[in-house]
Amino acid sequence: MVHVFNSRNVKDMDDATKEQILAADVPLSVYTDCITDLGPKNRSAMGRFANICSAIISKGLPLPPSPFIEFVVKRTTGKSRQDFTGTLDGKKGVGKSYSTGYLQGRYAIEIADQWGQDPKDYFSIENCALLEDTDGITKILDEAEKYQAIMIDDASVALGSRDFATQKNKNLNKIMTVCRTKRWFVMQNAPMSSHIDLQERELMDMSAHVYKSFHEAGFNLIKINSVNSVFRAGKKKVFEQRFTFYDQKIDYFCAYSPDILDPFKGFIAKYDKQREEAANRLISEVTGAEHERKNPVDKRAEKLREFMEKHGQTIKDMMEEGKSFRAICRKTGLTDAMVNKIIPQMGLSR
Amino acid sequence: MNVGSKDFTPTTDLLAGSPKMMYTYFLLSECAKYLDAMKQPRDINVDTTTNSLLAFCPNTQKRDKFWQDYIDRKKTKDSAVTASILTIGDFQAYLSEILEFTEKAHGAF
Repeated sequence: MVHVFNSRNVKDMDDATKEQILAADVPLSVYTDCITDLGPKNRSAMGRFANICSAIISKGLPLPPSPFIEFVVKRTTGKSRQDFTGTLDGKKGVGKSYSTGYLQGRYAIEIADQWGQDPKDYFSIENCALLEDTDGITKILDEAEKYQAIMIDDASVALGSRDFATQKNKNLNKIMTVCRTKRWFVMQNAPMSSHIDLQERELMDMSAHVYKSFHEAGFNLIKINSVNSVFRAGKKKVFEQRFTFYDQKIDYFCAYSPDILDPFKGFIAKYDKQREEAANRLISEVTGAEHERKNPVDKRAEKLREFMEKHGQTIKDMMEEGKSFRAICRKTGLTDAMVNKIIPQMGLSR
Repeated sequence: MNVGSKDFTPTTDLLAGSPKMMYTYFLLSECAKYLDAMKQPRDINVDTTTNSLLAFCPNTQKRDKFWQDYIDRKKTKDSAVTASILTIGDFQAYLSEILEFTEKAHGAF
């Protein structure tokens, strides 16, 4: 069981835990200061942080307080009635979804700790839109209650920048514009944030990037910037800044797998299964649509086939009985031209 | 500045630099002159040289403190040159801190 500290309960850390942390060569200030001083800002700074992150997971140490998550919770539960939305980008397979799952899992733990509830009330696999189209996402958003953490995985599928003028994008943009009162923590993943609809990106509060993956060790280092898009003098300006906590700008954030959080054990197995099913479904839909595009079905031929199935036997019987052409048309309700087409198709002759 | 030339006169380039860059460059040039002067201390007035360099300290309270440290050290070390070098060393350490010559990196979870 991995204990998760926050800035409130870290002061009550017992001596045994302190000794365990020091024995793993992890500075105690990582916990007590809530941020990690990595020394001079050079190329080795990332390595020093990676060593600390690796020691924490390999030695089973408690997780240090997260100033970022506490900031998000303060924002979604604060008096100003705001929500928090962001994007996380990174190449395919770097672990965007795992990192997002971890951040949202910690958000759920933090908010549940403050209100004395179960973290699963605030984040679960049901809150994850995995390769969903717009309908799927709107359904999840419609059913989600207040203060939920919501993950829109591969947001470029439903909110693609190439579909910018479509009604589905417009509808989703409307929802994301007015959903502030729901007080959600929404994260959208995409290989590149530019793949997401521009209007959607302009609503974001933060932009994160998977900077370095340490899959073997079980964590990712991500960079998180606050985003402020403004429109001034006919030009759009986007200001991206590192988040500042405890008067220090934070260069790297660590994100583990959500499975190390006790309330979310087994999350990854469920996620992987649903993600694979969603990928298969999407590929089938796209290839089916592509096949139809290349081999368009002739509407006239389709109608002929439908009438043959419905009236073919009647026409055949009446022809064999020697009924008149007009009688066949009267009986079936078909036009002369249609009956004329069906007769040769059935191997009959007038 | 002529890149191919060894005559390094970046003054015009620095005029377009940030105040921090210009201040740093100016101070380092003055320190180079100070070190040259300290090699032949008999030719100079160490008090005046030290004080003129400390005059560029951006914090007046600190400047007075550095000067006081120099006076105290001169008495204890019995050498104005040693006291001056130690004091200028402290001044440089202070500048390094406030001008953030060494930027620090931070991580969080």
